[in-house]
Amino acid sequence: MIGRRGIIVLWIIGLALSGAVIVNTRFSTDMSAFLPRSPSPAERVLVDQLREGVASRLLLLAIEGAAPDDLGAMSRSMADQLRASGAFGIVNNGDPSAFERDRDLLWRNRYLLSPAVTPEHFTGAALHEALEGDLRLLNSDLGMLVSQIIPADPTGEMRQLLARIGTEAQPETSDGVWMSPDHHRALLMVQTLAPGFDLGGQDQALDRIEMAFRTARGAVPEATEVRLIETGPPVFAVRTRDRMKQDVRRLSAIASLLVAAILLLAYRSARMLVLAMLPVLTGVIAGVAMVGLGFGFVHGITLGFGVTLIGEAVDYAIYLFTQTERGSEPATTLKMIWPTLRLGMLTSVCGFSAMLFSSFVGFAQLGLFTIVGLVVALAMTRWVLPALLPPRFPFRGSTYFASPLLVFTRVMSPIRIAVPALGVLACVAIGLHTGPYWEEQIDSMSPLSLAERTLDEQLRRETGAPDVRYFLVATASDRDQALAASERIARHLDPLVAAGKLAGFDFPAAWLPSMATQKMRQAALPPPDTLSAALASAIAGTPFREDVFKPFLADIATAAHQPMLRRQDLDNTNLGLRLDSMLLSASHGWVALLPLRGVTNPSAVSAAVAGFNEPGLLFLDLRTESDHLLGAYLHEALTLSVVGAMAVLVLLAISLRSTRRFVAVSVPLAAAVACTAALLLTISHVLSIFNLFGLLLVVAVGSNYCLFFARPASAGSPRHRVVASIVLANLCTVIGFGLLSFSRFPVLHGIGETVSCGAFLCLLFAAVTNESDKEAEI
Amino acid sequence: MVVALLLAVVSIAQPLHVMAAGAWDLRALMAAMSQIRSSTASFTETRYFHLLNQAQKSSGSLVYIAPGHLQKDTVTPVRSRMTIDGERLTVELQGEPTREISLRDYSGIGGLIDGLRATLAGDLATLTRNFAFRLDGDVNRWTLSLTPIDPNLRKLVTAMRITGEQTTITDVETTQSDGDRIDMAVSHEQK
Repeated sequence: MIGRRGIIVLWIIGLALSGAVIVNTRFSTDMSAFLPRSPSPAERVLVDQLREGVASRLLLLAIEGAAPDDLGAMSRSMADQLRASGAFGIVNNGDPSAFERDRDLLWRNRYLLSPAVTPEHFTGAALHEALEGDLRLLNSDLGMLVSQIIPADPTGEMRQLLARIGTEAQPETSDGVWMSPDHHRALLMVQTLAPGFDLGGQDQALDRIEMAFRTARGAVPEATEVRLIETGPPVFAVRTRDRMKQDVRRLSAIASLLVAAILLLAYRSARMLVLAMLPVLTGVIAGVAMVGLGFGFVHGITLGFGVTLIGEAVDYAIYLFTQTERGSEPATTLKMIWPTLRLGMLTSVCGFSAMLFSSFVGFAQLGLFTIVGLVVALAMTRWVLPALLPPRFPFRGSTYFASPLLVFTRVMSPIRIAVPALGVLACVAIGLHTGPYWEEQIDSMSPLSLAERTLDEQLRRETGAPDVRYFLVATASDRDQALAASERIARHLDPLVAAGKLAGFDFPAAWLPSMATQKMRQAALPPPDTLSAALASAIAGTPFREDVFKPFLADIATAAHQPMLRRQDLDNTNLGLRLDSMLLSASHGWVALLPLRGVTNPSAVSAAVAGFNEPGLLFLDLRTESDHLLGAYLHEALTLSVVGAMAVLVLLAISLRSTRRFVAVSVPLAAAVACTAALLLTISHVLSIFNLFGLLLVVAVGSNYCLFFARPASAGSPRHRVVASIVLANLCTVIGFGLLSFSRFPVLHGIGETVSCGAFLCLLFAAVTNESDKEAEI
Repeated sequence: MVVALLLAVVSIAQPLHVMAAGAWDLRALMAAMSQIRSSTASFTETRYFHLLNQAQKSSGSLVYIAPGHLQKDTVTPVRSRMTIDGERLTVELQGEPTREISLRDYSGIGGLIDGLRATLAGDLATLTRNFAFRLDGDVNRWTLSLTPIDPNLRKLVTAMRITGEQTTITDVETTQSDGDRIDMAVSHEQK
């Protein structure tokens, strides 16, 4: 045996090693850790979009609460600052100069870009028709706007390209700045360079916006009421993280204070309080280090929830301290309660180990963290804690916590059959529940308030940045192939638009045609002599003067030999960003996304798409796909929970080696879980995935209570001490999780209400079930 | 064009007594304009484009309803309709998709409309902020020459000349920056 000192030295070495690992561990907040590891193609597109898609980087800003002129000035000032900051790929406030590059790009490449360019487009007859159209436009009230470009573009390619750009509604512009229709808000649309998963980068971008707004406001001192409104995925992500952090911090601070107060009340010793916390702290440190070693990074959520999940470890010290009688040695107590503690820990580990097999990295991390944390915390309680206690330490563990429960159980014991009866009743109630059991809509998990969602929708409408729900997804081996595929699909989609099944669509090759298409269009441009002759015959019979179209002849001659349009030509343009949102490089090649607008009958469109005969083409409904993802989550979590619960039962059956004790442990546990589920279902009508995790925790924590209650009375301390220790442990759990249920976040709230309710029921049921056996040797 | 149209319509059917009552100046003209609630007129437009070797003629009718509704219906040679409602400019043209433009999108024109709205309300200061003007002739035959001050608008329109006899506008001539010219003859139908 190594001595006291040796054990303490080992413990410190262990802590130091873990500390060294943690220092070198990367902490991540990338939410995709909570997305599946081996997704379907559609899920992969969804995940990529969530992680780094253009939509995940889009911010809508509104300045309101000042006179329109001031709003305009502030919008310009903010836009200038944000452009200069270098943190944004695009900053758009309606300033026409922001589109100059785009116009120029379209103008120079109009004969490569226009789908109208075919050999037939430039015959005498076709040109004559085009000129007649030009004349009509000139004579119309739009004449002033078109007369300047007709000489160089009589066939109207630029008009067509601009019309295509403008298919998405643009906000109104006032004095060169986007405004809401009522002119109460100046609108800006910005895109962060930081991808959606980089919350740190997004946070910095938001800080820059805040700074730019303050500077802009400073320049308009009379605008005292002016406000900045921000919305969009980066804002939501950062805000959610901050609020979650804030909630966890606030609630866990209150919980820690309350638990500390109760432990102080029980032990009347600050030293004991610190000692009681040591196993949990050691467990957390070891857990983080182990996850860091196993996964290469630790997710913020693992840390946040992991600590909650191993809250059970506080109980270990409580059992030890409270069950140690005054004047006796903790080692003696430990020897008595060790088998029960060990089995309790093993049950919890069994329950959590199911999470290790999750296809969601985040859950697997949580599983590993919990298992390591609990094992280490118990080892700490068993070997290190006694070594840290001075010899003949005066335990003043109070036992009056036990009294109310002892009275309750005495009253209830004659009808202890009520426990299984309630369990059965709960199962019947669950069976009779109408409607779905599980919340399968992703919205239900959204931590955003209704007001925030409404504001987001409103700003999206005003800026013409609709939330696109339906996409076609085509995959190809390289970029040009993906572009070519999008051209083929676009040709199939045009009839659907004409038939009214779609309001419209966009496709990447509209802004960067495939090489084959560009070459074909270039080849369709007639040689100068042919074009001159065709033009001369076209002009005949129109009032156009013969010499006005020289720019047209010159531009065609240039276009016939101009270099092909390449991706890099679109750098730093709005069109380039639009292209990037539709043309993605993926691990398995290139993906072309075609956003569909105005889909009224998705199944009809889906059926039509199936007939395109385009291998691998997917009709993607982001909404359905997100719900599917949640469904997959839920399904997996359910399976793992059932497997975990089975494992717990098998472990109990093997370890207890007694049918009666097995029944005494498992019946109250099962009844408590069933009653909790029935209660939650009655109150909120549907269970969330978070309730499910809560139930798993109830099994982990509650099994300890049941084991202690079912322990032979002669095998340990006097019963009132055992009961006091369980009540104390339960009190701490109910306080900790009860506080979580006050959180605004569905995840914290769901776990909190489930565990506090379930753990309390477990205590009552276990106490009542085992009451009359107190004198008997089981 | 939009400006000419507004001026033309707004100037139709001014009550004679307003002008007779005071001295003949822009202030009197503006005051008269602000009295108008609604009016109709017919027009004949002649356009001289440097792209074309012959002038283009069109004709139709004008409708104005205070405060912001304005409609120009062209009947020949091609049917089309331009409507200004508040800040929306809509152009419907046979065989073309309907175009809707926010006047605010064209800062020059937007400023002009603001100026003309101010004119309707008798706000001379706003008008003179947007135009340099000169009033020639007498009440029986006068010419109001307007030159836009805003460089954005000057890129489109360099000069406008409105001719009137007493209270009736007879002609609005708009000269564009590329030399093209639109001459709109207005005839007011007494109702």
